[in-house]
Amino acid sequence: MLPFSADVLASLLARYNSALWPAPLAALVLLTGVLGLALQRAEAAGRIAALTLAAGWAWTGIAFHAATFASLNFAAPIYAVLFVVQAVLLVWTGAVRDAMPLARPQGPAEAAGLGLAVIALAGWPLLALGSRQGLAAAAVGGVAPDPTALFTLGVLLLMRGRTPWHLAALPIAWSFAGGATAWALGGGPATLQALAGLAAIPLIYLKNRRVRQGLPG
Amino acid sequence: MPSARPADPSRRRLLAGAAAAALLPALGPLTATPAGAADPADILRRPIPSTGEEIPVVGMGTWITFNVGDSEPLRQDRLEVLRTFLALGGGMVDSSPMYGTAEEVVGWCLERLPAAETAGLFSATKVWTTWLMRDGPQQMAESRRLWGLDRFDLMQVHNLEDWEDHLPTLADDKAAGRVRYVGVTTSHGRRHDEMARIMERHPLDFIQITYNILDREVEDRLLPLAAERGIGVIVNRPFRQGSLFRTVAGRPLPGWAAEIGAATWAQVMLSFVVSHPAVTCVIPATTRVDHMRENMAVLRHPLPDAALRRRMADDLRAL
Repeated sequence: MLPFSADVLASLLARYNSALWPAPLAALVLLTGVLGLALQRAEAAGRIAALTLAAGWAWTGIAFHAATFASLNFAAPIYAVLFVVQAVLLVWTGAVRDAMPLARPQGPAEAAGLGLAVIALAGWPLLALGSRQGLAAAAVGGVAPDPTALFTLGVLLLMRGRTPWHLAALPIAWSFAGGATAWALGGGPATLQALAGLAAIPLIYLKNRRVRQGLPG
Repeated sequence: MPSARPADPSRRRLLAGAAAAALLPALGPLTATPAGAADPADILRRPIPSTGEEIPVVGMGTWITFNVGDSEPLRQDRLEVLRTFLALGGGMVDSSPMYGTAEEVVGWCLERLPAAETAGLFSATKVWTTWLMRDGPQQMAESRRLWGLDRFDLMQVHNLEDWEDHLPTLADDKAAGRVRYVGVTTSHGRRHDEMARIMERHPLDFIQITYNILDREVEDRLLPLAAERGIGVIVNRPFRQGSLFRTVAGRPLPGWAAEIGAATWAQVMLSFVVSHPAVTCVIPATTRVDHMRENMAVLRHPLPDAALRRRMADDLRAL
């Protein structure tokens, strides 16, 4: 049971995007760059991806949840804290420890990760076409929570080697929360993000097992 | 503002409702005038048991509907909803700090309405403390600021949260004139045992509970207890947050709807709720002016008697 309607959430996103413009566009460009680096197996891709994603989680936590969404939803300050925690985890694991190497898709998990990242980047903003505000209310990865979580899951599945569960836990949890929110607001395609979270669990498990067995991660 | 008792013999069902109310000593009689009356004063009202002050039986909730943030177009839409509500004789507007920007939006709307249009307002909100917000008095002061009021007509403890702390504060506020009435709320049929205990042991002017044509558990204990203790009853979720409309979607109104002047399912559901003699006010929420007009028309409709209430509930349950 949510204290706001789909129409009001779309209106909030439209005003958020407008107030931040051109930050949503810049976020889209940055995340596309991260995906490009991963596909080219660039040396520093993991570190750059971790820092970019951390910036996206921190921005979304502070600018969206704490400064914007909190006016509609009393739980938003809690979400803000969780998003900042995820940002810290990404910085620590991916940038400080350099433990987030990325790779071209080699197996089903990586392929699913690439698909998820592309959907988060290119598909998710288009869902706003169903709202009264149109693309102005687009949820953009790096500045809005749902596509940020989905894109992060996609990047984590693209990792060479084991995907750390401590990095995947919050994106998975948020995909459930985002799907439940979409369902409570009347359904629609955004509800399917819960399936992404659900699918990510066996994909990460199988990927990590493959790595443990010495097969290519 | 009292209005004349109905004398028209064709209003038997309304009189039956009044007779039922008379069986409950703590409650005042129903007062109403013929359906379709143009005078906003000639509407169905109920007395608040603790004082006898009468309020219109249809109020307005703000859960979800008034939580529209800073959006100017959405605020303008809600302004028209509130204007319509008040113009059609509405009184109680109920909100809560838990409802996001709802209180701020109500205050924004009230600020834009002429004083003459808001004269009938019965302001009701809640104190809602959580681990993030512990200071009840500070929150209530903030609510007064948001609404632009010096005092609330009714302050309620939201969902019984920290009621042990808040009720003494509310009693002090009432004595000091910062609030006229005090109450406690719950919803979705939760914590009824605890609410009953509070009703039995503490002086309350109002309780707020969930009651609708399918969720009738409160008829067994809380409504009779409210009548016995002289406590007014505010009803939330009369449409089960819209899900009752999905139950009746595509189905024609039964023949008995005409007997209570109901032209829509919403009016059927509201008439059922307010026809319980222990109910003081129902607070449906809407974002639409046309729906508000539908809701407020019930203030001028005859009410079902006990036999018709049973039939209404049986028919709805059978759907």
